[in-house]
Amino acid sequence: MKTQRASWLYLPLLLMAAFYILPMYIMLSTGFKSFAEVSLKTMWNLPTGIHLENFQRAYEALAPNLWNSVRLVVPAAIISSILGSLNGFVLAKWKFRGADLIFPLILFGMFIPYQSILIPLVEFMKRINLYGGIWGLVLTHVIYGIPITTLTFRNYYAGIPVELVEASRIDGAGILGVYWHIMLPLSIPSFVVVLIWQFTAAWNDFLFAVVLTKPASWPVTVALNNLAGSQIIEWNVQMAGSFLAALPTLLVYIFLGRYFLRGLLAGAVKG
Amino acid sequence: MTASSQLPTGTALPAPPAPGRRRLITEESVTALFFILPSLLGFILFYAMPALRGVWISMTDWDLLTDASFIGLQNYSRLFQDAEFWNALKVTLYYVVLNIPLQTILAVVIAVLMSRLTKSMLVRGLIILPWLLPPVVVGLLWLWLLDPNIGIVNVALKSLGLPMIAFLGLPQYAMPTIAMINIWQYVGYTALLIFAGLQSIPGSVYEAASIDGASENQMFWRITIPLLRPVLVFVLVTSVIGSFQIFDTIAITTKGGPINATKVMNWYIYEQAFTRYNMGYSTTISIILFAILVFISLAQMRLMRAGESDM
Repeated sequence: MKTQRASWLYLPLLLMAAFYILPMYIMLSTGFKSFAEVSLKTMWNLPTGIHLENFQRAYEALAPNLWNSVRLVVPAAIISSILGSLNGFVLAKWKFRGADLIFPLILFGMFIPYQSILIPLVEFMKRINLYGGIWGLVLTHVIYGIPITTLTFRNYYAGIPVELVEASRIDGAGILGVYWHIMLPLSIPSFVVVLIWQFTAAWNDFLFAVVLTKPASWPVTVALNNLAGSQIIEWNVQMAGSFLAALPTLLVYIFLGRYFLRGLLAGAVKG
Repeated sequence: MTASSQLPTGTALPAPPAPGRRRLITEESVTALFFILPSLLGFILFYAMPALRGVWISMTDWDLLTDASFIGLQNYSRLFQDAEFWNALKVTLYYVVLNIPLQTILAVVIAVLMSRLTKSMLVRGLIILPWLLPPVVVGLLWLWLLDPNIGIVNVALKSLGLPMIAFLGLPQYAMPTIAMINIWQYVGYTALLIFAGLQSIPGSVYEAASIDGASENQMFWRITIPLLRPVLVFVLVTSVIGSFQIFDTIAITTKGGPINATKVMNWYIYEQAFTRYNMGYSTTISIILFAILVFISLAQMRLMRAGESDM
């Protein structure tokens, strides 16, 4: 009886899977089609041949922006993860005066909609000559990533037994030693989660990028939207470009996804 | 000998550690401060100060062309007469109502199905795939799928003998369509979080309940849902906050149209600032949005804790 019910349950799951997967299948298959094939009748068909010229054209249009995105995401993800780990450690294992004030403040920061800070932020970036370039955007993503990275690391470090810390303190380790020799090696799983998280957030961001960068420094999301808005680019090229824009996050996820899921599944409950 | 040599240290022990420890604390407090100093500085310079500066800007008539001058609370009183603002608020609430209940229920269903039917890492991996895509890509993808002329959805409708629909071009369909697009993107991620919550419920609880003769239905409502509460609170608070801030999908697909049907608060704020250059007024609206978000999150956390049973 149990198996019967189970097989019945597969139906909604399959329907949902179709709703899920089909759009992505169509994006990819359209990217490989020639323009002549992008028509009503052949919409569902697989492409007749592999038309890499769409990807070539999309890449030609987006290459500088793809590199801008790389130059944005790599430092942004690494720096905000390191900062989050340092903060998380201090907040979880080192109760100093004012710690009780700082943590809620950081959490509170997560509630501020980016729009409320956008105008003063642009103003400030202009004043310190960081407006328009990629480094201003890197800095923004680092800072705005701090609440979530700190929270993740704090939750993780809070679960590490105090005895471990105390034992190494008895052995004469200072705060730096405890962090470096005990906490850091133990927190590799959290680093994977946070790095992927920050990588994805910075890569996929549109709002900060469109407001804080000039065309020469546009990351791929802004450039792609601009490309689509120009109306002369055919859909198959747009889909190829979309795929290129989505590819890096997907690749990171394919290689590290297992650790990400594991970390997410372990950490979410505490969140 | 050993005893006598130990004794002085032993008796001396209570006294010295106090100043010693105190010195240690100050020393290490400095180190601890160095750990958080970079973040703290960045946070103050690029987060707290702009936020406070925003409060000041909201009390000016700054419009990029002329110098800002202080106008007190005029922008705030202007809000009350601004029909576009009320429309934006209404449209945003409509989106949240369309989005959150359906997404949460679907996510719970998917999570329960996942925990019942499969242990496959591949399924778990696939389920959050749309969440990984840039919202710009998702927007473009659906814009094309739903195109009134060549979009695949309309082609399918036509082949079934149904009328074609301009999903994003008609005021009555635009917002539900945007909600559908965002549910598509985020439901898998939400489901995964809930799934994580389900995994943390020990199987023995269910075994005990079924021995006591509880039905599946009873177990779901009396065990699963109450024990999922922390995860559900987290999911609801974050997704409601996220929904109130919807921007990307609208920027890509409808740009607030047709006839303001999707002009949510964030889009209105953006438009006031970057196409109409009303910096002061735009900031005022964003501060109201912030206030709404704080209020809603606090209320939500309070509500979800009310009637909490410590099982």
